[in-house]
Amino acid sequence: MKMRLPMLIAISVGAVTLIAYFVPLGPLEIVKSLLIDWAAILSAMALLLGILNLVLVHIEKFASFKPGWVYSIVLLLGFIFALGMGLFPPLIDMTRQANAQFNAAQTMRDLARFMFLYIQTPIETSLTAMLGIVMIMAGARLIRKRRNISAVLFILVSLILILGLAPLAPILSDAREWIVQVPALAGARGILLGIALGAITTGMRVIIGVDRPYGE
Amino acid sequence: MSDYVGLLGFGVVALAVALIFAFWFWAKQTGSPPPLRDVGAYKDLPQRIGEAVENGKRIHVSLGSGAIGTQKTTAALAGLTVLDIIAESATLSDLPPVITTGDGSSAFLAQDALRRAYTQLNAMDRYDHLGGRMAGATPLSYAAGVMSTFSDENVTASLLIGTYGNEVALMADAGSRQDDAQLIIGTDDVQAQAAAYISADTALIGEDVYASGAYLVGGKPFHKASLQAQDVLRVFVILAILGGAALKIIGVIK
Repeated sequence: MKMRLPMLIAISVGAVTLIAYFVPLGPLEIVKSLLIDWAAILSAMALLLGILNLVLVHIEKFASFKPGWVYSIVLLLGFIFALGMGLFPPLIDMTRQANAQFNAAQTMRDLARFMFLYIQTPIETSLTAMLGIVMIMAGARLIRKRRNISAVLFILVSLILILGLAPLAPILSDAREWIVQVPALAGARGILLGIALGAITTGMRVIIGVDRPYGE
Repeated sequence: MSDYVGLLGFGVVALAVALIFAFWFWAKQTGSPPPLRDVGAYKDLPQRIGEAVENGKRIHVSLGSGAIGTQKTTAALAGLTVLDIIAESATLSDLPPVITTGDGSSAFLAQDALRRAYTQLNAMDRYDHLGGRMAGATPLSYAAGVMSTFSDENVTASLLIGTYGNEVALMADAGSRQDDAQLIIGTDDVQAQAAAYISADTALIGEDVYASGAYLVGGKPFHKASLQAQDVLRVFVILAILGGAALKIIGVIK
């Protein structure tokens, strides 16, 4: 009974939410909204706990000098700094004298903004820029890794797509346009349909209780 | 959502459930489900896990940055299904498996899967709750966290199954720098599948991401049944597309 209870709850919640999505009757709609609200609250709590888990992993890594512990210090300092900049300004605002000259809360907000604008955003942008180079190198390695017709086709199509952007020959631009509009679009739609069907059957397996990611 | 669309959606879902049960019942009655086509990644995976266990190395499973409770839930569930199936054998290695996610909920589900595996093995003293961990909260920070996992955790085989964007190429690049490491990537994002195709040892394309249970030893008969249901639904979709095109050609549909 103890083992079956979570399964029964999961199946009922999944089934009610799914049916309410297709049959929007009044009471079912109310229950669906309530369940979705609960799920959102649980997800938010899980995110907080997940971040705590991330911090614990790095504390452990730093404390036992595991490989990469130096980066853990950077992460922990960044975490403390960002948390402080987010948590303290409202508290300071509450206790601050209206005529005080130095506005610590605003300074902290500026620092937080500085951190996002001038540290996080440039780092993420650099990673995205690196992505282009990494993909070109991976493409070049592809032929060495997989010597088959699909790899050759992949490289060939990639070259046409890249060269088609340059003002070299109109035929390349036309070929690029045709590839993007016809076979690539058709292929992408085919893959998306497959993914959608896979997602439906995976979801159904959870709702009928075959897959139980929440435990046995 | 219009009534017709809602009804059609409900029909597809109901048909999927009916087909899953029908194929499961058929396999139970005949005792021999129809053979499945080969998917290289799933064929090599048990061998890779066996090698990792023998060499005392670590298996890494990454569940992607899709959060449970969003539209990306099923991709994370696909990763969790693989984890559920391989956890028991992966935990036999000297180095316990490491699971990375980009979402708090899936991190806890991963921890639970590991806990169940250790309980089955009667080795709860070896269970480390930090084995299932959140590596980063945004896609790029998650990618950075996973990249450091490859180098710091002595990983010999990595399965990245879940939601990834193009940043999966960065992860794959970091993974391929490890000597003798095997990298399998499955994602529900079409562009990321292209990135995975060029950078991973094996890429799971399209619905293969969701088919792990049908191919891996330890999967349930329902997994095979759901894959067959998926194939039948695909035939229906193809027929609907072709039928729609034919009706348009003959002028029935404007």
